[in-house]
Amino acid sequence: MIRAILSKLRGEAAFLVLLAVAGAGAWLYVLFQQVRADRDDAVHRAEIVCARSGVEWGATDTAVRGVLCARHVAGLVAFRADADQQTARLFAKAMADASARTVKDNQAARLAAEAASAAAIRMETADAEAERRNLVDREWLAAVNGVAGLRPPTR
Amino acid sequence: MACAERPAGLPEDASLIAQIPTAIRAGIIRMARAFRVNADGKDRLVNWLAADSCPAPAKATR
Repeated sequence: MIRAILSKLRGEAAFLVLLAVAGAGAWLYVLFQQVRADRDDAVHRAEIVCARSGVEWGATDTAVRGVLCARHVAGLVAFRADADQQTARLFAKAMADASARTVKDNQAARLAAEAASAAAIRMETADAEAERRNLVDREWLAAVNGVAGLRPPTR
Repeated sequence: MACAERPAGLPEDASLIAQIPTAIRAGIIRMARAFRVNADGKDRLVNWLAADSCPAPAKATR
């Protein structure tokens, strides 16, 4: 029976080959349709991304399209990294400055308070002495200068 | 902003001896104390705005 079928088919060999070729062609066509759909989709997405970055995908010329856009995006990335770095550096510097300033001010305040309290003690003693003698002398005047934080005039 | 002005104070001369009523002495002392507080505060403020503009407050000497 198989032999009968084979012998019958042998007569239709050319048609069978044509059928096979047509099948392969149809299969390739379907594959190509899928590939083309994928490619169009990818290009479309690339166009959208480029438009968002602010540069046109550009040119119908396939050689140069996307080049400008890629360059622009690379620039944006570099800018972003640079800006981050600068911001971090400025922020760190501001923090350090503020802290150094506070430390210095606290130190100045402490020094001033110490000097003032030492002068006040001396003033108290000198004024008690002036009260007792009912006389104002060099020591009292010097104590007043100390309280005011002033130097005597150089004659 | 300028630093606090600090003029020369009272003369410290052994030959200068005076009688000053207690109330006036007290007033002089009050003004002297207020002068230091104000001057030191202003110098601190200026130094806060622009570091090292004014000399550091004098240490407690004498």
